[in-house]
Amino acid sequence: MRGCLLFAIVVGCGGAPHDETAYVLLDREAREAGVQIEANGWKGAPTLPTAFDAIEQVAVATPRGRSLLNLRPGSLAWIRGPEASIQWSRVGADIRSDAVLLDGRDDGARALASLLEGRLTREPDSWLLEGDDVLTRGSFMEIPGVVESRPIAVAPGASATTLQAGVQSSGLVVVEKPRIEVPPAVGDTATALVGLYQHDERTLILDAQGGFTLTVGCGTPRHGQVAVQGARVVLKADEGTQTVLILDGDSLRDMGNVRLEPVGGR
Amino acid sequence: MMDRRKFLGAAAAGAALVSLPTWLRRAFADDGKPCPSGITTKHGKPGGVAELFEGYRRAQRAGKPLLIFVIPENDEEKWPRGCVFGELLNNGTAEQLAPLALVEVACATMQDTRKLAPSAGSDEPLMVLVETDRVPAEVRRLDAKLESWDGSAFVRFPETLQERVKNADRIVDARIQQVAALIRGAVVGDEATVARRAAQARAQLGALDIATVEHALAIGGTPAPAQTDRAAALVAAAAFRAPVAARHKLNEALARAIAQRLIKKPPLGASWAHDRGCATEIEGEPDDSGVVIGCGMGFVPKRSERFLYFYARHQSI
Repeated sequence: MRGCLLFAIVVGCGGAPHDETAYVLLDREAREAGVQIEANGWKGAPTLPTAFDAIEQVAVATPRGRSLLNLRPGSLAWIRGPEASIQWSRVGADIRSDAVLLDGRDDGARALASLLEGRLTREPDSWLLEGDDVLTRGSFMEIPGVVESRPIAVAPGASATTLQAGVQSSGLVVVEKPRIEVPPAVGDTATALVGLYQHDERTLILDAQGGFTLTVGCGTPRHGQVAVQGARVVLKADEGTQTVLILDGDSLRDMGNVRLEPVGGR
Repeated sequence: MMDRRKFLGAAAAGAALVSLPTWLRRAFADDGKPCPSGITTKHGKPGGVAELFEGYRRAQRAGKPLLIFVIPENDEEKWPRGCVFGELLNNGTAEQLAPLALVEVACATMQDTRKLAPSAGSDEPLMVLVETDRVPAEVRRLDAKLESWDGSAFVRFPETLQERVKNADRIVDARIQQVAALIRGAVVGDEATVARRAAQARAQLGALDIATVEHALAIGGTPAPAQTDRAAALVAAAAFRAPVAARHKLNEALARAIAQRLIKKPPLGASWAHDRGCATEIEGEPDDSGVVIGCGMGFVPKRSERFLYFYARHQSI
């Protein structure tokens, strides 16, 4: 999906016109805080601006929840900090479409410049990468050594002026606080699994805080942590052992095909 | 707080005899075998803890948090605690009851609560709020020091009966306000909290439900009670932004919405019961046995007569 989209945008064959392209960029602080971009089943935290069709459904996922991002055609949403504040800039009017500032190792910057056939200029503490449509063409590229990219303000007469936080070329401060609209999808399976399960003398509790208690008859209970990996529910006991259960409908099945059924039905 | 067990024991001396209801015989007769794990059985199935997890499941599926009314381990504290919740549920104003529409409610001991939410703590707060939007869940303990009314059988000179009734009314008012404020603070909090709850509820609601509720709110109406209950957080979010009169109307709709699952029927883990100072009558339990217990007269404020009965295996009465 992502490959098709990128292909369409880069070669301009049946893809969206340039002014219907929208861009999303995560800053380093946001990425380090676990903020990611989600679209059409894809999820990631690229260091370079990512191009989308402006009508695509894109969300910003943070550890606190997801926020739907209403893309603006021809604009960049710069997602900043752990709070995932959004700074909007018009590509071509507020920021340059043909340049970004890069932080990271020299070899990374050079590799990217080579891939995009761009020009690389050393700036204090960073690299200026210029080239035709680099904002779009760098989309979905991950280059080892490049740890941060920043948009460059359109400033006549001044070269490589990084866009200031919250300030457009017009001087206006345009920062939106994200509106967390959807709880994190990651937790959905885990919350649905919380419950009390039984088979004969075996009782398994998956608690609401990520732990489990397994009791056989009136024996000493075993405790530990639960990890949900798709349909696999991994019980990591405090004493170091690990048990894998498979989610099978509402039940949990162990490797011996024993089904622990939810008590009370689910 | 009055010592209920002593009161009933003393009252038995010259009292009339009443039947021991079926629920109590059952409770004494076949209630389970506690394992060291603490998972007890009731009629061959896991008891209170199963109901608590059922409460979590309902809450999670409804996109609501789970509010646990904590049942004291000490039998003598069960009745007064049940009165506290009964006072609010049966006598609270629309504004006081509305936040309850945003939660699923279950009653449980702290021993069982810790099985669901290990970080809930060791002592016994009034309530515990468990969020259901993620694992590990956020858990909040809600507690306050509540005054107790005097339920002893005799008025102590120089107090008059009128003074006792008046004092008890004041205490009931204060308790309703305190408990309602605790719930409102944790469940509704501020606009951001309500928006978060609305988002969680929205994720569980069907498109038709959302459209119907949003349409009703947009034209200044209120959805049907069952729909209001399902979409309570959306209604509460609208109430937050509404002018005073409209807000009151929405709060009334929310309060009506909880009637079926919390006031007509009891929340999970409890029964509704009546006590006017003599025998306790459990709602929905046929009184058909030949077993008898004593009955005496005590004082119960009018608004405390209907209460949540937290019966247990070792219930002393």
